[in-house]
Amino acid sequence: MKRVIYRAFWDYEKEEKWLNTMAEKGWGLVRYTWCRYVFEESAKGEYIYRIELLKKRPSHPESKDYLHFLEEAGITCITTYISWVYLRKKASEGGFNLYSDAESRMEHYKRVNRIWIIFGFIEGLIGLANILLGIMNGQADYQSRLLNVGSGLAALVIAVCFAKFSLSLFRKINRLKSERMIRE
Amino acid sequence: MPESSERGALTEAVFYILLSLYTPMHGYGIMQNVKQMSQDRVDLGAGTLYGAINTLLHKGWIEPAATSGSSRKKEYRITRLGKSTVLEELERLKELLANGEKIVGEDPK
Repeated sequence: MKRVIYRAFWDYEKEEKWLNTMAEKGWGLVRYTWCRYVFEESAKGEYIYRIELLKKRPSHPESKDYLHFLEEAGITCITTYISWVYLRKKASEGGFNLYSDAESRMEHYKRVNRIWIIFGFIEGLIGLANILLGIMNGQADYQSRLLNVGSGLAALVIAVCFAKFSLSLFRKINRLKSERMIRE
Repeated sequence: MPESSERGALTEAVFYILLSLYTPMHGYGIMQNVKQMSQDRVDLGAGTLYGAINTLLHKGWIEPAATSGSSRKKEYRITRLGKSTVLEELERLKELLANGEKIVGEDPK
């Protein structure tokens, strides 16, 4: 039996948690496309899921080599989205964590954070440009100027959201950094 | 860039990977071996291991081993340079252990 759920996540760790809760209930993710999750019935708690952002697109030879390496360790890539991969492993084969030290965990957080920073920056620029255009463009009619300011503000709100996600990742990275000062 | 003479400690993961590769082994084999050696304490993440293997290959501490017969899995083994690194690390660990035992042993509590 299949089940389709539409859901949006900003935080991939929360998403991962949700996928694992679903897996515990007997629903294993088999496909993901933009906010659309397709689950298939599986034994309860059969799989453990992990989400990872690769350095390069999944089709890149480096990524293929990595995914092949995971495959050998019993980890299957079940679906990809841009550079995100959704991985799963049979729970009966033991625990499943991709990263076992602070260094590699930090590196992955930084990779994810780069996306938020870039998107946040672009949204912020779009927002400011629209607002300025709305205010300064005296020749345009009132309505279109209002529209400019409005959409500019909306873009700014999105930029602030991205900055918030980025900040929470920075905090996680810093916590790992200070932990690493005293232990590996 | 010449490597500085002051060498830091190896990470636990790297130390155990190098020890494992005294016998040629593939990635998953290393994970299992390290887990067994450390009595389940060290459970290497596949992502962490993959990164470490590539770094160690790059440094020349390990090298690809000729894959054994039917298995298509990539195997690795430690190089001479890797072995000398392990020996240096052992000396460092001995020093830590000796000093630790000396001072803690003399402590009346």
